[in-house]
This record gives sequence, structure tokens and C-alpha cells, in this order.
Amino acid sequence: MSTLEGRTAIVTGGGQGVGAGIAIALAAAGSAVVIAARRVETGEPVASAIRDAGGVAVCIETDVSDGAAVQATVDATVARFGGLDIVVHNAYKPTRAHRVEDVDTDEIWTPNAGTAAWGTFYCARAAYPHLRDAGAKGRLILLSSPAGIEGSATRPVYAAVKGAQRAIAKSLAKEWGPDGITVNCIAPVAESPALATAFAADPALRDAVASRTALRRIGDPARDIGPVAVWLAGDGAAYVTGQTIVCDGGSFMGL
Amino acid sequence: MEGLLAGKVALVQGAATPIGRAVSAALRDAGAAVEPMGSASSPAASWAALPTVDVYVHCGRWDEVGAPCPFATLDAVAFAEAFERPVLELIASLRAGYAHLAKPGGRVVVIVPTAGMAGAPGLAATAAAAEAQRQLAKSVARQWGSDGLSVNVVAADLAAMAPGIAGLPAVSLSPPALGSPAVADLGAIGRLVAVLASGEASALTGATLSADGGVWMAP
Repeated sequence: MSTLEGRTAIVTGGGQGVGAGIAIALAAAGSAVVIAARRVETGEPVASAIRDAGGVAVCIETDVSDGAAVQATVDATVARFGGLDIVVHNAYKPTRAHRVEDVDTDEIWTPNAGTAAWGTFYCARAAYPHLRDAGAKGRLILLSSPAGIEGSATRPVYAAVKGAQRAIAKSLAKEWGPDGITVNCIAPVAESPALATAFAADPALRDAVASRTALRRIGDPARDIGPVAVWLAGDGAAYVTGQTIVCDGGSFMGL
Repeated sequence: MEGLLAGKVALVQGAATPIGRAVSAALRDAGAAVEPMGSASSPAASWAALPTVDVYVHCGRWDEVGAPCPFATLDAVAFAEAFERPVLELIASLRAGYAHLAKPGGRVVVIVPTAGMAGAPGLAATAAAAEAQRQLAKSVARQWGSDGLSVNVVAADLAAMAPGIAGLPAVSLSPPALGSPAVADLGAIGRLVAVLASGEASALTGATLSADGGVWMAP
């Protein structure tokens, strides 16, 4: 499968979990992939594994909550590969469970909003001129969450910033549609650092999450989420924009 | 409506905005004692001045939304103002208010533009703020339900809440089902909020009601 041959993608948070699964899947589909990871020690092994499998990948250290860092990564990507067609913004810094009346701005809001909302803003702003140049191949894919659709009893700020991403996706889908760019969200339930944090805090949660899925299992990033990102990034999804693809094994069926 | 909220104390954030004035009037007409929140940036004092609050309505500052502009041209200050400040103000007020809300029976209503659900070209940061508030409200409904508190959302047309701004994109291909005047009938939205604030809405929490005259009908 080489549906993305000749294209260049950035995957934020590509060093682990869902981001790594998506990066590996995009590379397997033929795209050059920039792993934009906050820590090179997690991002580089993924890039190396992609190269070992015959793909094209580099890791660039990137803190998505830093606008200058995101701009530098986009600039370096374009300088290296000659353009930018696909941005997958997946990076997210999980926080502890919280009640809204106990929300501490520095501890809870800043990591959540910094990675999910500000990261989306910085990625979209820096990437737009290049996605516009890519025209009908231009893709912005945001990793949101079912919590951004139905709220969260344990992490209200997480639900808020994940909802914000969905609204930005819908808005930019309309704003950038005339350029041919599509903007969509994926709302996964898959093995990720965020879910691992939640499971560590509440060991019973794993079975609860798995049993709520129609398929009775938690998704695998590479097998279950990566191919959906490949589809969204490819020509077959050129007429799909402003949508949230819920990849959660059939947990949430609200529409 | 008369007597629907007799004896109830209501705190209204954004009481001086167009939607806030309509909500305050409707709550008063229903018999509530209505207190405007002094400052959304420091809500604790307004909550603390009222030992018990039966009804809290968060109207936001949607009348301050600026003209649409391309997302990629926003600077960090503009994104913070359009997205972050409105969400943090709601969080700060809910945080300060939890101890003061009547339990059981306290009711919270958050008013947002439908642009958060529909998306709005040129207003992505505002749409993000609206949807973040809506998901926050659902989450808080889940957290506070065991205290007998309900939290609901009323979604109104942005142009109706911000009559001074121009160039807003259409939310739907279809015209308003109830006709154009219904979209901007802030008095009707205020009366809906009064019902949500009353015991008549005791079965409802975590819900979003689109009070836009029949434009946004999804899902």
C-alpha cells in the first residue's frame, strides 16, 4: 500500500502510543514522516524503526505548547522534504483526575490547554501556508477524544480542551475548504500514555473501558487507529472534512 | 412564568450583555431575586456575597466577539482572548460557586453560541471556547449530579448575542424553522433559561438546548 507516496507528514507526539501508531502507518503507506516529539529519546526510536522497515522518517524535538518550536519544526520539515502535506496533531500531556471545583490552573489547565488547544493553534497556524500549497492533498488531523463529545466525569478540563479541538476542526474545515484542505478529528480509545495514566490511577478502569466497547477490547494504536489516519490522509477521504471519526470499538454511538 | 422561581436567588454572570439582560429580566419575572456578578475575572467575591445561590447563569461575553478573521493570522494574545479567557472564566466561577450552590436543587445554565457545535470560519477560537464550555458543562453535570445539582447549556445564535458584529457565516443551509425574528428573540431565550432554572426541568442535566429558532438541529 503506497497511497501516500511522495507526501510529507508531521506527527506530533509521534514517539509513543497513538502518535507512534499513526506515524508507523503513514510511513508504511509511503509518506515521509517527521516525528515531532517532546523528547528525542522516545521519538528517535520510532523514526529509527520506520527507517529500518524501509520508510523515511526523522525525529525533531518539539514542544507543541511552544509556538516558536512548532514553527521551527514546520520550517525544518519543509526545508528537508520540500513541502508539507499532512499534519497529525496528537501530542497531549495527561494530568490527574480532577473535579472542577479543585482545578488548579497551573497543574491542570496549563498542560491540558497547552498541548491540546494551544498545540492545535500553533500547528494549524504554522502549517497553513504549506497545506494550502499542497491543495487537495492538504490534511490537518487532530486527535480528540470521546470525552470531547460526551464530557468526562473524571477530567472536565480534558473534555473541554478535546471539545475545543473538534470546534476548531469544524471551523477550519469551512475556512480552509476553498483551498482543498480537509480538517478532521479522530476520537480514539486506544492504548496511550493518557489512558495509561488513567489506568494507573484507577486499575479497575481498564476493564470498565474495555467492557463498554462493543468489541470488548481497547484499541491498538498501529492496527486500529493508524489505518484510519492513513485513510483520512489519503485521496479516498478528500470529500470528508469537519468530521470526528470515533475509533473507540463502539463505545460512543451518539450520532 | 410568574412564581416559577419565587423565593429563589439567582446569580447572573454577564448580566450587562444583551443576553444577560434578557435572562435577568426573565428570572425576575419568574420571581427570582437576581444578582449580577460583579466581575467575571474575580467571581469569588460575587459568590461569597450570597450564602446560598439557587440559580447560576453564565452568559459569557459573546457580545465582545470580534469580526471574523483567518485563524492563521491570529497571534497568541488574540487566541488567548478569544479561546482561553472565556473558558477560564467559566472554570473559575464554577470553582468558586460550588460551595454556595443550593444542594440539592441548585441549577446552573451556561449560554454559548451554536457556532461551537457548527464550526465558524474566521471564528475558530471563539467556536473552540464555546465547545470547551459545553463539554465542561456536561462534565460538571456528571460530577455534581450526586449533589442534586443540574448543569445545562442553552445554545443561541452568535449574531443574536453579538448584534454589533457583521460578517458572521450562516450556521445552516436551511432558514430558521420559526422564521428569522425567532433567532434573535432574546426574551424567549431568557424565558427558556428561567424554565431550566426551575423545578420544572428537574429531569434534565448535561443537556444542550438550541434556542435559535430552529436553525441548528443536529444530531
